[in-house]
Amino acid sequence: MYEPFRVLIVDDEEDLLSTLVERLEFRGIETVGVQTGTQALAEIAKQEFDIVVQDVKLKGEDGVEVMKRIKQVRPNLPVILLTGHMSQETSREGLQAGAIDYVLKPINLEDLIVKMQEAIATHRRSES
Amino acid sequence: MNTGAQDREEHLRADLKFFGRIMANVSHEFNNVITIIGELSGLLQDLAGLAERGRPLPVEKLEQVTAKINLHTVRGKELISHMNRFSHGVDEEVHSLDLRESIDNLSVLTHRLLERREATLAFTAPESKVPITCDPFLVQRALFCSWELAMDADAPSPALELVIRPEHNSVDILVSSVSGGEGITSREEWRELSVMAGRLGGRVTVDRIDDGFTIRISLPAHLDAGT
Repeated sequence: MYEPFRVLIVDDEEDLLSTLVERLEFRGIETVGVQTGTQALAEIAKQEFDIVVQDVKLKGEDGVEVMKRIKQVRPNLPVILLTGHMSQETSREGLQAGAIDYVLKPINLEDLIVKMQEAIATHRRSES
Repeated sequence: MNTGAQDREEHLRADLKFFGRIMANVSHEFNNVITIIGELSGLLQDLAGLAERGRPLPVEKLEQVTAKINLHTVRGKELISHMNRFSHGVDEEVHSLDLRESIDNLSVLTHRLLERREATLAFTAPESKVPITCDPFLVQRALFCSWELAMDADAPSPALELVIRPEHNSVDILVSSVSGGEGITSREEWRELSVMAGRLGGRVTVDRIDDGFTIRISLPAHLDAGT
């Protein structure tokens, strides 16, 4: 079992998003999934999350710009970027813009969970 | 003034850049397909794990997940098939093809690039074949260049229409939008497109129609006819 946390997943691939949400929920992790940056900002305005996991390439949107907008609203909210091998350059740009880490696709779910836990723990330590 | 050798090198570099761009886009898309299939099979493992701990197997859910796996397997297979066709476009400098198929192939391979720009491309293919003898790779590069040019000229949410008009000895490819188009011929992409049309033995023009524009690429039906 994991220490409880809430995650917001942002990915425009519908089947990937719904499957990730379901698999994280099976592991007792409260998860909300959205497909666009606008929906992500709306969710963040509505409710609290411990972490955001976001694809760097979103339909009609620059993923790094979306992350910057999230950071403007919640500067301390940790963001992990999801990326293909081809987008590592973008991910490095994302790290410079404030992402805490990035995870390569195809995703290893257990690795992603460990990274989320580490990021949340680091964030909580810095807050206390 | 460039020498012939400099021109050839410049063309080669631009061709290679386009080839790399399409390959990078397709490999990104393919990586997504693999990721989805991986997560769906992970979900099946999760369900099996729950069943081992006494929870009944949800048959309907299993059927849904396997149907999605099949769907994305087909998506991956189609991508590979289109990518393969595109890659073989560089095998011969002049080849006879059906222009409708080239457009269809390019549309599939660049679908995501257009989607990212929130662009739509409506193409109604003629019922009969549109035969053309040309450089299959270069014609696709020219097509995509015209789409990009049109997208830039009609930002932020371009709605493009593509029509091909076969004539006796030539083919006109028309890319239109009902809005935008200001300064289109002063763009670097316009120069690139003009060079490509020239290499294909044709030419490119633009017509301003009401508030929109039409890019017209006129190509000889047989490369020899225009040179």
